[in-house]
Amino acid sequence: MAVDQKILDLQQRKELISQGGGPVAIEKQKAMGKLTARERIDALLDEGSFHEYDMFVQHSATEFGMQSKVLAGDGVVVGTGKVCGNPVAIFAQDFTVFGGSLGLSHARKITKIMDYALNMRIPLIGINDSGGARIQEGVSALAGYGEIFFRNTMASGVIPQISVILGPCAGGAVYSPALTDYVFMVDKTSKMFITGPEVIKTVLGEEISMEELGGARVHCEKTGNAHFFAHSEQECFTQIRRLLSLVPQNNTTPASREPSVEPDSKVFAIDNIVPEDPSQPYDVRNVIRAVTDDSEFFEVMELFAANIVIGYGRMGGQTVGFIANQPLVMAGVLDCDASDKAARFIRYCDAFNIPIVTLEDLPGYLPGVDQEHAGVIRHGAKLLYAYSEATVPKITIILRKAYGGGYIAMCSRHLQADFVFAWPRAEIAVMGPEGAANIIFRKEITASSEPAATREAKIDEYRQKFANPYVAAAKGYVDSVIEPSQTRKFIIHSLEIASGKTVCQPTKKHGIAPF
Amino acid sequence: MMKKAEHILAPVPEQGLILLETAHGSFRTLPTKKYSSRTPWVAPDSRQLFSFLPGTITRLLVQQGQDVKKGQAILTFNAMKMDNTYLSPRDGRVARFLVAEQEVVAKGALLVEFE
Repeated sequence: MAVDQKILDLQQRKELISQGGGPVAIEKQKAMGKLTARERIDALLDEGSFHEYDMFVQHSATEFGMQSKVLAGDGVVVGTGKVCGNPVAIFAQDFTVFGGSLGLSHARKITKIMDYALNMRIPLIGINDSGGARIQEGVSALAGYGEIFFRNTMASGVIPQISVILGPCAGGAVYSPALTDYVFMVDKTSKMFITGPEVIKTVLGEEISMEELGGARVHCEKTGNAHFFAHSEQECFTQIRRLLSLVPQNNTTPASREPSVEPDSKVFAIDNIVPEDPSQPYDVRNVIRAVTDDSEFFEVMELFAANIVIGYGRMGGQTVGFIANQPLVMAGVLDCDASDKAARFIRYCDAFNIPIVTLEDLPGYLPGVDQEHAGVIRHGAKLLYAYSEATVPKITIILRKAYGGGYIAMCSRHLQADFVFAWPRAEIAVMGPEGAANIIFRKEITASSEPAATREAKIDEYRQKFANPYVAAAKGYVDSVIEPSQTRKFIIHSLEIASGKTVCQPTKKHGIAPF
Repeated sequence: MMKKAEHILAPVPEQGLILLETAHGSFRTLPTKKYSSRTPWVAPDSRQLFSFLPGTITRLLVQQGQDVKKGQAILTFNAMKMDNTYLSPRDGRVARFLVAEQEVVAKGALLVEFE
């Protein structure tokens, strides 16, 4: 019977640790509308797939009364499991245990599972819910953060790294999510900031709530620090599962293929989506859904810099990254935030071998002192850099406007797009007809007895002569002018042709991207 | 699995559209919050002195109406655990202080105006 007793003992030990900080702390966690660390893991992963490690890890701190404190799992749950049948590594900080504070053992559990994830080339998911550094452990806690940041950087571009903010994530702790690929936040649950409301009040006398300072809405809409906004933890987990179903497990294996399903051409009638008048808006996501498999599109960073749309869809069963100017918002102009948003997405797609489809309709860059002083030159350069550097198949469709610098930036032939197609109404020109006519025909317009009429006539003349796809097509900058209804066919064919694409770039340690 | 989005054509809203002026023409579109709430550019005025960091005014070293020389210490300021001194950017007369000793100010707050 000795063996059974050992098993019983093991079960009791595990049961005790599984209760985290105990019933009172769990009740508090629930009162804040939050799930516990283990409930979160169970809700996110495939049912019954989670295997936990390092349950019995203890801290070795001795100062400030820590020697008598036993912390279940040192405040973090780590292990491996599956999402949609694919393996993943995961850690979840347990706020019920000493506020989920990060000490050295806590950090070592995290870095160990990060090393597993990198060595096994599987995605890493980190659930953050922590009061921050465990002050009692002093510089050891800081060392722990540093070890995590280093591993985030080493794993970057090798395995997908997902951060889920489901509670506070403050001070140095924010830099792990910031170094990962995708940050998920939940309204009224997630909080991220470097210095919290207390410090701000002391130093500045400014009073602000945690939610207003660093809640989900702030980071998804304003700062661009987070990529996905959810109203509940469950919705957030569903988003994570959807993302993981679309992206590859690592940088050497392709994303899973699905059967190709035709788009819903009744609802998304591609010939009628884009208004003829280039000054009229429309939602470019309708065009994306008019070409993707089953008209499905999974948007990334929907609430930030909405003048550019990024996200994933499938074409002929294969995952594709879409970058599209959004004429509905700010006429689809490029600005600091839009360039930054698109550039990072392009680099993700390139790192994980996801082909890029660019849908172009923009009147160039946003004018303004605020933009110039915010560094639109530096931020805009990120987009040129990311497109030029990317070696995945690059397919560009010019839907309507492609003026000036915007034409070059949106994955033009000159930045080594593999295929550039234009719709018949495309206006590819150094300037928009209005702007160009005002400059080129200034004398004629001012000398005219009817300046307004002359101006209109000259705008029309310019549009006829220059603002069309055939000037660029005559120079070979556009491979083909196509009917909108042929777009899906051309993209899928291009993807097939480019599937073995190989590019030799100059040998270098790394480029100097304009961060 | 995530519930698929319904197949509904996203409409252009009838409200809230503006005419955005660019170098390439003007376009009907929705503005972003950031664009709508941007502060218009105002040329700097060397008769105004602003705080460069958030912090606390510790001492005012000159008085209202006093003539000061360029480079003369005007006030002391404790910011980010460091003591700082603001020097006069010009020769001139102090028209008024907009802050008092021990006052906590934000970055970019107007501290002193010169005549």
